[in-house]
Parts: sequence; C-alpha cells; structure tokens
Amino acid sequence: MKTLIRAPGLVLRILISVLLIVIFLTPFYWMILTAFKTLGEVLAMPPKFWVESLQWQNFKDAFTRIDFLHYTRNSLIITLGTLIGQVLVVVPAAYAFARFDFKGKNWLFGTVLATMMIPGQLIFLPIFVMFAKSGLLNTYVSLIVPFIASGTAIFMLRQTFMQVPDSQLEAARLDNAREFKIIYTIMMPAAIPTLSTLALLTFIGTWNSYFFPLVWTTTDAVRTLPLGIQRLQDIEGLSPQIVMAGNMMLIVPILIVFVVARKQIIKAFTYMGVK
Amino acid sequence: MSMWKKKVLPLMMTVPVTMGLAGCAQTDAEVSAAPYEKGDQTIELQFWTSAVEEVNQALVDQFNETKGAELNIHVNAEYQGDYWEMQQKVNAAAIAGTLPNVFVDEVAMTKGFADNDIIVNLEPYIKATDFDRSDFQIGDLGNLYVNEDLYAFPHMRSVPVMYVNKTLAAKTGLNANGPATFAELEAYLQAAHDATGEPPMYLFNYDFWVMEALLHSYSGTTVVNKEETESNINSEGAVKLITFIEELESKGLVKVLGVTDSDAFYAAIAKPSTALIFSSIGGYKTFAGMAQKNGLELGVSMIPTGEDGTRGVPVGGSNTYLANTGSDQEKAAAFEFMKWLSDTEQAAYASANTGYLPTRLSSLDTDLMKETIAAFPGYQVASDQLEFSKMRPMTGAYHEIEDLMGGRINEIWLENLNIQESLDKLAEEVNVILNR
Repeated sequence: MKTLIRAPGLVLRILISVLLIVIFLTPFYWMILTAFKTLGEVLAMPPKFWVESLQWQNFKDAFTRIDFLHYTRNSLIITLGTLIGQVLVVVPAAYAFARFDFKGKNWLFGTVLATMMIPGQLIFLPIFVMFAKSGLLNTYVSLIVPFIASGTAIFMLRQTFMQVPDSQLEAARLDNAREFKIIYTIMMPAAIPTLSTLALLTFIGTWNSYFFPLVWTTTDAVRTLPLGIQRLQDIEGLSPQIVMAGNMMLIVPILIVFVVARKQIIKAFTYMGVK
Repeated sequence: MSMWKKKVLPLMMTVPVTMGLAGCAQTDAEVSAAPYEKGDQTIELQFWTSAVEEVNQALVDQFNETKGAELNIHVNAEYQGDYWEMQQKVNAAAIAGTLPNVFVDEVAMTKGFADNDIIVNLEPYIKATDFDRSDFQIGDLGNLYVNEDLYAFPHMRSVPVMYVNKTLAAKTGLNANGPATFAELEAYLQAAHDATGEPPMYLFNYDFWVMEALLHSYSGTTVVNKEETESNINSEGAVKLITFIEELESKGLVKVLGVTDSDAFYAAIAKPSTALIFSSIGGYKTFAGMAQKNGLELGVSMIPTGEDGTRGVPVGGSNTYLANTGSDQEKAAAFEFMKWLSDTEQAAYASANTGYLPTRLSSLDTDLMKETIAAFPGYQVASDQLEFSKMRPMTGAYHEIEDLMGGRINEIWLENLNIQESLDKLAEEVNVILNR
C-alpha cells in the first residue's frame, strides 16, 4: 500500500530529474552538434538535431586558424602556476588561522573574508598600473601572482583544519614534529577532499578566466586559450561550427579534471556537512 | 560577450573620469611638430589593431618591407580585440603609461580620446609635412575632427546598406534592388513572407549603428541633439520609427534579434527565405561568399528613403589615432606610418580585401578598386550612399548610451511595451549619462 502511495511521487521526481538533466545537457549537446556540422547544416531551418557526417575538419580548422598550441601552453602554465602558488600561500595561512592564537587574528581573518566581497573589476586598474610600473605586464607573473591568495580557499581550508582533533597535533608535537611537517603529514592528508575541491575550482576559474587576461595582456606572448577562442570568434564569426569546435577543445581539460576529481568533491561536501 | 561588457561597464565610467582629472583636452594646434628625419637607428613602433586583423597585419608587413625599411621605422602590430575591448585597453594604458604609438579604434571615440589627452592633435604634423587631406573620401568627416582640428585618419570606414536576396526576389517576382522607400517596405516583406512562410527580414540593433541610419532615413531625426546634451530618442520621429518596426514585427515580417543572437543574425544572411538585411558594407565580401555557398545571389542597395525622400547614413568603422606617448621623433615616425597607411594604394588594398569603403578618392582610380567594383557592384552603391552621410555622435559616453538604447528598444519590441512611455523613460536615462 505504502509503495503504491509513494509511486506517483517517485515517478514525478524521476520526471523532474530527467527534465533537469535535459535542460542542463541541451547546451552541451548543441555545442557538440554544432562543432560537427557543416555550415549548411548550421544554417538549416528548421534546425537539425543530428549530423549527416562528422566534420572533423572543423577541429582542424579551429586548431590551425589560431596558434592553438601557444595559447594552450600559456593556459597550462598560468593555471598550474596559480594552483601551486595557492597551495604555498593558502595552506599555511589557513593553518595559522585554524590552529594558532595571535594578536589581531580575528581582525585579520575578517579582512580575509572581506576580500571575498570585492569585485575583481575594482582592483583591476591599480594592479594593472602596478604591474605596468614594475615592467611586469605581459608576463606570466602578472597573470599568476594576483590570484594565488584566495579568501574563499583560506576560509574553506581553515574550517577543515579546525576539524582535525587536537590530540593528533599534540602527539605530533610530542614527537618534535615541526609545523611544516604537521601541515604536510597531518593537515593536508585530512583535507584532501577540500583541497581537491579548491584545486578544481581554481583550475576551472583560471582556465576559463577571460576578463583579467584580456585587460592585462597587450601582446600575444602570454595570452590564454579563452582569448584565443575569442580571437577565433573574431576571425571565424561567420563560421559558428569552427568556433564551436574551438570551444569544445577549450572545455575538454575541464571535463577531464572534473571526472577525475568528482569523488573527492562529493567527499568534501559530505565531510563538511556531517560535522 | 555581453557579460564581459556588463563587467567592464563600471570601468568605462570610472576610467574617463580618472583620465579627466589627470589631464585636460589637447586643443592647441599651435604646438609645433618637426617632420620625421631618418636616423641611424631603427625606430620601433607599437601599433594596436582592432577588427580585420589579417588585413591590418598584411599592411604592416608591407610597410616594414617598403617605406619602413626606407625610413628606418619598424612597426609591430598587435591585435587587441574588438573596438570596445580596445577602448578599455587604451584607457588603462593611458593611466599606466603604456600606450602604443598608433592604434585603431571606432570613430565615435575620437572626442573622448582627445578630451582625455590620449591622442595627439594632428594639425601641427599636417602643417610640418604639407600633408594633403583633401583626398579623404568618406562622406561626413566629422568623426575625424575635434574643435575643427584633425585628430584622426580614416581607416576601415563603412556605412550600413540594405542587402537584398536577389535569388528570392527573382523567384517571387519582387524588385531585385529591394524596396526604394519605407512606404514600399511592408508590401515587399509581405510578398516575400507569403512566398516562404518565414520571417523575410532580421533586425539586429546591437551596436545601434543601423538604428542611427533608420532614424535619419525613416524620420529625419538623430539619436542626440546637435550639442549632444539631450536625447532625441523619444522624439516624434523616433516614436514613429519604433512603432513602424513594432508593427512589422507583430505581423511576422521582421524578426528582432537580441544582443546574444549575433550568430543567428549572421546565419540569417545566407538563408534562402531571408529577403532583406540591414548591415555594414564592411561585411560585403564575407556575406556575399556565405550566400553564394547556399546558392544565393546577394545584392547591395541603399537604405530606403523615408517620406519626402529623407535619407541619411552614419559613417562608422574605425580611425587610426596617434597616441600621446613617446619622444617627438617617435611621434613623427608614427605620423609617417599613419600617412602611409591612409595613402591611395593602401586604402585601395584595405577596401578591396574587406568590403570597407575606400577612404581616398584617388583609390577609386586604382586598377585594384576598378576590378573590385566591377566584380562587386555593391562597393559603388556604398560609395554613392556617402552623398547622404552623417556624422556619428561624438560624446565620449556614446558606447554606454548605445548599449542602453539597444537593450531598451529591443525590450519594447520583444515584450510589447508601451512605446512612448518606454522611450520617455529611456530618454531620461540617456540625458543623465549625457550630462554626467
């Protein structure tokens, strides 16, 4: 009897879930479809929801019309540089806020949280001028350094570090472990799900970043892949199938990283939730 | 892109203010400028380009191999994105002291750049080098001058035109040149619609440039008053035009596209059922090529006339600007490059390879332009339309106003808002920006 009563609700939930999946997947499907179409198929009315034959040439065109490898290399350097920089800066900062008491700690932490509320566009100009005066425009440094300190990352890691039992730290200190050893042998392993989540968010944010690389670069030397794709749009704006092929190549690394890290991300939120 | 614009908008407002505080308008044509003298060392110049990147790069390569090699000047071209991205970069670079020597940007930005001391008054250089400017042929030259002094050279200049699907016209027995007047437009579109059952015209007022042409031609009005202190967007003529398009839209004869629908707009150009499109002559060769791939012949006609034969088209596109940076010798060298870039052969090359207008009368006499016009008669139509050319608004905040008006007017059409009421409100918003 209970099963029968629940059945309509279950069916409704399944239907809503399927509907949501369709809504979220449709833009992806449309992007993939367009990337494999001919121009004629793209322009066809009514629109076609399939392709007659896969146009791999679109990917070749997208790859050759801009210096795809150059932009990809720059994106990789800047993304990995930001990731490494964040670990070096954020982990010790979060540890200090989580496990030490010092004068002005609350005020400093409040300041860190306040930085999360400042729109990036407001700091763009002073930082731009600072890099220009120091001759660092159009360098990797100018696209990495401003982003390695993150209020969100410090906050999330601090919350995770605070959950590690005091007894573990005391035991380590009794064994004469130094603070950095404690960080790397106790804190970081305990925070792997959080670190994975932060790494993924940083990866996606940096890989997709458009505004800052756009306004801070005036030569092609350090321009990133999203700018390259925008350039493809400028060159091939009337060939949307080529631009979509470029967009597909832009998001593939993000999808790979997401698939690899998804278990850790679920763990991170579950872990934080049960506490 | 629209997101990017929204993010950048605050900067558009703050940067000019900062610039205004930092310097005052350079209006002094008395400042002397020495002509360029070739030295032993090669002068390196930075040239920021925008739009048609490949043609700009090809021109720079030609300069470096010929005139540049002769004068010991080497130009490095760097593409910076579209006109609005360039504007942001130029404003930021002016504050940071990293301006390039020469740059390309949209024509309506001339006064804003001059008022903020970003660009140099060219009069002293013209005087020093006996440069002949009388050959410039781009219709109304207004967007080159500030307070009667020349501040820019025309570069890739264009006018909006009416593209006509000649193949569809032939099939349906319609005039292959499209409607000559707005009075004929509805009947023309209705006939095309009856034949295909689809919208026969697409309208995309994203950069408001086409709307300026419609305001001039349909109702003989302008976006702002002559002094650029007050909006005309709620004037009787503007209301009549918006109402006219609203009626066509509600009958399914015009499909209005939103800011994010640029791909759909350009795709519509090559659709067999599209009868008419209003767009830039700068896209002529590309559009014609796209249509041809779909088995269509695309013709070019003038924007239709309004009552009593009113007609007017804004001359848009880009100028080259000499930035206020570098030594006197670098500025003189940059002026040499600008002169070369605007010269007869180069103007012909730029025009023939894009669709933009030849910016010198003399370039029409080159073999290249004669061949191009013979193969693509639309060039001649655009050139002839210059007889009705109008200056674009010059206010430094015009791009912000364009964005606002484009969005609000699209809302009127797409959401069937009350026209007079909405335009009155819009005019108030525009006035606030104009008098900020």
